[in-house]
Order: sequence, then structure tokens, then C-alpha cells
Amino acid sequence: MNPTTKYCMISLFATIAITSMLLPFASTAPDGLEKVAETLGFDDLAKEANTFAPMRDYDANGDGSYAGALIAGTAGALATLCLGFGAGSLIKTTKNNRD
Amino acid sequence: MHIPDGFLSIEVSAGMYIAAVFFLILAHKKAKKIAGDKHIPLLSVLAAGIFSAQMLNFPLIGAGGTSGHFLGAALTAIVLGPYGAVIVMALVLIVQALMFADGGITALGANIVNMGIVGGFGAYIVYSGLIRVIKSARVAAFFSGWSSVVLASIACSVQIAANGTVELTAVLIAMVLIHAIIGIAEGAITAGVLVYIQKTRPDILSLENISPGR
Repeated sequence: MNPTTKYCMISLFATIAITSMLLPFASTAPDGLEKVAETLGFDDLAKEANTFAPMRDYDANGDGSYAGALIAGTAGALATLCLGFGAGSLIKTTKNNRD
Repeated sequence: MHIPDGFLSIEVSAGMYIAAVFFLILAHKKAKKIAGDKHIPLLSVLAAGIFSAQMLNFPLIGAGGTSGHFLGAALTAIVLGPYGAVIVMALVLIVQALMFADGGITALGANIVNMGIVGGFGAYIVYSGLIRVIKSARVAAFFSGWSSVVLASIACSVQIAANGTVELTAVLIAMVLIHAIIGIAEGAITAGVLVYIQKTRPDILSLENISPGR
């Protein structure tokens, strides 16, 4: 694999590792938009989104556990990576490599 | 600031989908011209990394009871250009909406517009403007990161207020105040990661950007 791919993979593993370590400390407070929606009173408009999502709220086990979050996070990161390479194969270069 | 289903009118949702698809098609055209060996792994890993980072909410000082998280549009815009940012943010948002119900499905277009297009292009314009005037890439990156979050929150507010359920001024002030604080973290992280790349793989920063005019 070319050196850039290797550098990217190492960075990715590092990211997943760091994320896994920091996950237990992640804040559960509502994010900016949620808080504003609560305060201004339009949060009740939010519909039950996407009932076919396999891991709602980043919870693979459905019990709010760290393991559930870890599985969700890893699965999501890998899914995003694969989607990225998929998008990449769509964006095939038509000219000679500019690198 | 992932908008859930139910906040936006059908017209706004549809309009935002059209805008998102339009920009994604444009991004694909631009990317096709210049993407080489390094761009694709970089794009994929940035997307995966941003996805992971977005899971790490941090509590906000000065806005008790609220949390924020890293966005990543600015970092991507600096490294891959604004169209690259649109692609990367769209990938992250799609995975988030489909796998985790983070962000609505009907609101996906709007989320891509806010965080990908507004965030990405806003960041890029600020960065390239500042870097001409000040020599420090890290300072330019900081303000670029800050701006991307604030601008995205403005776009988000306008979309939500558009169907009249909440007053524009109220949601705009609340969202901008909170995101001005979140933006500080965004700026710091963007600058920090940029410095890391500068030190370890500066060649990545001289890659051709997926920008307008290519």
C-alpha cells in the first residue's frame, strides 16, 4: 500500500483508539440545537426518526453501556471509511496521477 | 446541530436536498479531475476520523447543561478543499442518519447543506482569505474552524425558523451564542490537527485542493 494510505490507516487506528478511551467521558448533555429546541419549546416537533437504524443513539446493545457505544463507534467509523473508498472509486482519476 | 425529522417544512427539506445533491454532483466533477493516489485514502480516513470525533461531546463552559462536539468541516476544507469537505461531511452525515438515527432522514439534505456546504465553503473562504494576510496557518485555521461552526449554526437557524414555528431572532441568537463557544474548541482542534499534519506529512498539505476554478 502506498505510504499515504499507510499513514492514513495509522491515523485512523489512532483516532479509533483515542475515541474509545475518551468515550466514557463524553458529555451526555444535550447538544446546542437540542438545548435551544428545549429552551424555545420546539423540541416536541422532533419526530421519531428512522426506525430502521440498527444502532440508534450510538447504542449497539440498547442499554447505554460503554460496550454498546464502542461497538457503535467502531462500526460507524469503519462504515464511513468503506463509504469513503466507495466514493473514491466513483471519483477515479481520468488523467495521469498528479501526485 | 443535526436537525431531526419534524423541525423543517417539506419545502425547506426538499429545497435543501436539491442543493445538497447539486453540490455533491459538482464536487464529484471537480474531484474527478484532480483526485490522485493520496486523495482517496485521505478523504476516507478524514471522514472516518470526523465520524469518531463527533461522538465525543464535551460540556460547554458558559452554557451550562449544553454540550458540543467537533465538526470537522474546516479541517477537511483546508486539507482537501471546500468540495472535498462537502463530500466528507456528506459521508459522515449519511452514516450518522442511516445507522444511528443521528439527524433526520428528511433533514439530511439540510444537514449536508449546513455542515458540509456552508461549513466547508465558509471555512475555506475564511482560511484562504486570512492566510494571505497573516503568515500563521494555525491562526488562520483557528478562525476558519470557528467561522465554520458559527456559519453552519446560522444556516441551521434560518431553516428552522422558515416554517414559522419559532421566531428567527430567538433561535438565531440562541444558536449563534452557543456555537460561538463551540467554535472555540473547533478552531483549536482544527489548528492543532493542521499543525500535526504540517509536522508529520507536510506533503499532504500541498496536495491539490478540490476547489472552485478547477
